[in-house]
Amino acid sequence: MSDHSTPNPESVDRHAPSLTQQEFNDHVRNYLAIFGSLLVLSLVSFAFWYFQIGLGWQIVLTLLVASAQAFLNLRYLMHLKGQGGTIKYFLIMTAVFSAVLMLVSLLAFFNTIPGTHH
Amino acid sequence: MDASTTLAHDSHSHNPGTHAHPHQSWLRQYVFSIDHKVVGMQYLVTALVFLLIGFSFMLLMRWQLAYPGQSLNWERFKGNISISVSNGVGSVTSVFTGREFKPQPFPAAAPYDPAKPEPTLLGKLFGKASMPGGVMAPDFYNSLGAMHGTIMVFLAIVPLLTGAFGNYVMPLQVGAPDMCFPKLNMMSYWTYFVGGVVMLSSFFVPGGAAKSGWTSYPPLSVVSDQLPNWPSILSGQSVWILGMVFLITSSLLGSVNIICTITQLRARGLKWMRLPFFVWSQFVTAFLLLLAFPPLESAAIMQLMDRVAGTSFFMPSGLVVGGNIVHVSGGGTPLLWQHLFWFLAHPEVYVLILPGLGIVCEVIANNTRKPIWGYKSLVFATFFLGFVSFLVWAHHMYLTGMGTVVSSFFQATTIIISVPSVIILTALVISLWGGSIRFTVPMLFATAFLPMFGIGGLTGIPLAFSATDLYLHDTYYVIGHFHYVVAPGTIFAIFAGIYFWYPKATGRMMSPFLGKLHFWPTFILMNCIFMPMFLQGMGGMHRRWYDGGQSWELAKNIVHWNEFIGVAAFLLFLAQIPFIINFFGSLKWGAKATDNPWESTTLEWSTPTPPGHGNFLHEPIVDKGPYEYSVPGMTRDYAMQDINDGKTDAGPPPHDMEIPYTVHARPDTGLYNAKLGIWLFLASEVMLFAGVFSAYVFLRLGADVWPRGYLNTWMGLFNTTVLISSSITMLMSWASLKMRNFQSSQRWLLATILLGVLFLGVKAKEYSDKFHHYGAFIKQESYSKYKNVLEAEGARVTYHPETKLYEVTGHLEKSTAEEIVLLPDLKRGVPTEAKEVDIALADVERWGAFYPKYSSFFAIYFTLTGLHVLHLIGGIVVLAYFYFFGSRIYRQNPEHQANRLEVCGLFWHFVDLVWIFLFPVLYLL
Repeated sequence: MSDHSTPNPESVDRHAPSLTQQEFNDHVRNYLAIFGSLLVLSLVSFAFWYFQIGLGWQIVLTLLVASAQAFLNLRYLMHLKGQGGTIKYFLIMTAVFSAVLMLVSLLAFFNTIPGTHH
Repeated sequence: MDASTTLAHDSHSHNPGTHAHPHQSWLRQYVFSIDHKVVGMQYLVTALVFLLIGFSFMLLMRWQLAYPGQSLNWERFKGNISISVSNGVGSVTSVFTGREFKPQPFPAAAPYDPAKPEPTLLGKLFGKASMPGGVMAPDFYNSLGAMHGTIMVFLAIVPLLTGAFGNYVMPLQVGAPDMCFPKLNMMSYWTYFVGGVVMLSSFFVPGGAAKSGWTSYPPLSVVSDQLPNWPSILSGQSVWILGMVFLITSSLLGSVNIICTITQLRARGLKWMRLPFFVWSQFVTAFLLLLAFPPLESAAIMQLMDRVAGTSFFMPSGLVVGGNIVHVSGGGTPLLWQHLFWFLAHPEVYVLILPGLGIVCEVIANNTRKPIWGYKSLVFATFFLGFVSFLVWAHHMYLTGMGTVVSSFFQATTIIISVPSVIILTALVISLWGGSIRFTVPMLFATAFLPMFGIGGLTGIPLAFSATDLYLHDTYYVIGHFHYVVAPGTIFAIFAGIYFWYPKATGRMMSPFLGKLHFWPTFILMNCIFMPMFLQGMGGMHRRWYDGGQSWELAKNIVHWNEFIGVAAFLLFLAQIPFIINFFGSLKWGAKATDNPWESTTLEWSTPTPPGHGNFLHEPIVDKGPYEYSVPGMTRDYAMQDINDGKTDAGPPPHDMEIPYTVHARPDTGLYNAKLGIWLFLASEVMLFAGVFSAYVFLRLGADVWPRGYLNTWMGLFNTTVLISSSITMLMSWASLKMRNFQSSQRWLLATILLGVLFLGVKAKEYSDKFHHYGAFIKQESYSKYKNVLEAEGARVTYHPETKLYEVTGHLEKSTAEEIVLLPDLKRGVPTEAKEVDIALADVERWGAFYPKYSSFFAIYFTLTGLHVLHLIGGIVVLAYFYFFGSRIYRQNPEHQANRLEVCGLFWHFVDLVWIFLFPVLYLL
């Protein structure tokens, strides 16, 4: 979906479709591809667990797969692809701050004065 | 000469009645109003009342500090006030009476007879336990301290700055007819109001209001106010948390609205760099609220879980309270709360400052009659300040045993953040240079703000360094520093703003005489109150001493300042009377204000006075910057931003008074309003879940053993498939509507709802399974009795080295007073059938079902999935609404309905996105 497909209210009948048949077909094809990809990636994560590849590797690989799924979700299902800069800047800022919250508090967890923490 | 008469010029008389909101009941127009100006006024009046309440709490505390143990009743005032000290630390002499304080046993109140009627008003109001015989009880003192901070920050100052000024002034300054989402705006106010009522009601529950300070540090905040025969959820601390959830929700709604309004509803020609600085300050502040508050909300939820559901997010193992070990699963860390709290609370400091700076900037530009010096520097410094404010939070935590790497990081960022602060303050000070300064009442407050804020800022520098902070931490130095920023700092800015925009809002000028009578004593007394605190703090006086330091040898040479501060605080209270008279009296007796009484430039002065519904009589078009004062070659010393130069009845009328871009995208942002709104909301949701995920990481790293295999992974995988499928059906519903195929859209929508319900059904089954699954922690010394039989069966046994306990899980077959019979879970891959195992309760440290309180793992599992489920339920409710009632909107405007589905879809995909991380983190890793 794209906002560019939105018709001008002054010039277009508001009950006329705001997607062409071609655009609609493209959307559906995309959605099915993403649906399949997300399912396959879920199964891959599941396989890491099922075949017990070792916790260290499993954590790294599973989180990578989850990140790939999140990327697909954001880019295609949530339509960030083709979206203008406003949203992207907001989201990048949010991602930075959430990462800072988690990583810096994690760093504080490890970096303590000996004997002051259990 | 009276500013109101000297400054008034061209009068465009308008009858606001003709411009008022048509055909609305009084209730809709003034109580449940969606007009931003009414909402702003509601915020103003409510927050001023809370300001007074919070101030009164402080007065009570100062009484206790100045005269500890003395009864607070009218009899006391008839005689001489005397000081009681708690025990012998030497004598101290009153600075007022010259009386020498004699040591005597503490408390020094007259004998208290509970059977006698309560003699004091406060005792009657707050209960005998709070003020027995008029003497403040220690618990009540703690409650007042906690609630003073909470009320002042969350119920008074922030709502005044963002709720009142943000609502009233900002839309006018950007040339908007209203806020972007007026109904959300109304909801924001009423959520805030309910939050305030909930907060105050906590004084009247058994045990009284929260006592753990405005910071609510655990474990104290978790174990306090837990009364027998009274539900924990209704105890003071829990009510504080509930109140905070309301206030945070209100802030989030408000900040989404502010950002959207500035981004989407700016008038034609109002480019970003033509925005008044006040608008910039609101913009950055809204971001701070939007992204910093959610982690505190997640922390509040977890603290509520600790208090009510018995979890241990913030409760370490082996905690001893009152000589007894607290029986909780443990494994949590109080420092997690501090991280999540200060992640909000430091940006919150800038929330308290930035709008104040914005107000001061407007007033200074107007009253110096020259452009603000370094406008762009101000804007970029504000952005930088907002950004870095997220990176400094742990400088409040140097005392927690933080290592050198982390403390160096936070020391560096804290010093860095002083750079933009100094840029802003310097720009404002330089703006005074060469100006034709008019010392109107707003200008008095604005100029006084500058040195006060400067003192507050400069005294913060020693606190940035861990070496000095370790000494000054938790002393009155910190109180003095913080209050210089917020009290004579921000509150002066608020007063400046009220005096400045009062004529626009009411059509009347406030009395300059009463204003000056308000300003001068307030200015002097504020300094009398807060300056001695630096002396006390550097002398080592702790901020939470109930007796004000009377019982401490180290405080004997500084304790007398308590009385001085107390008297100054009481006089400060009296000094506010002229303001109260002025505020209400001017409504009736104030001189009539013109449309632009201060001869100002920004768009709010291009509206009728007071502005009616829709604000502008013609469409505002901007062709210049916000501070065009004393431009050479002009006939007068200012040029208004509006192309019509403030002639409110000039120019063509606006197209309509509707809010633009509700359906179609604004060209420069490419977004319609709701789409930007939902993305901002989702950004705050990311931060909410980031808070809980941080807890997950802390708990997992802090646990001696992290359990795996307790959840049904197949069920989790099935639910993942269900949720991914529902995302696709949601999109199909939207795409069908874009094709104007309503029936098809409805079918896909129904499928989405059903898939959501299926997910919930599976989740309910999972929860039920957990509630019927048990575990027992066998003591190390008793384990040998069971070792052989458990090993022979292949039972899954987990040893916890920290607590020296063996954990056996399984289905509970029977339980008696002496033993439990478990059908143990087997190790993965063990092919045999399990046999029952009898375990004597005498050998067991604790046992129970897999409720949240069972272990850290189940605490985080139920909290994360519970939050996710709540989101899903919310999504289903909204989708069901569209399914049943969407046809009406579709008939009116199908694109609008498609937009609504798209917005809901974005939320739905986000819920899916969260699950994409929850599934591996909880089920697989």
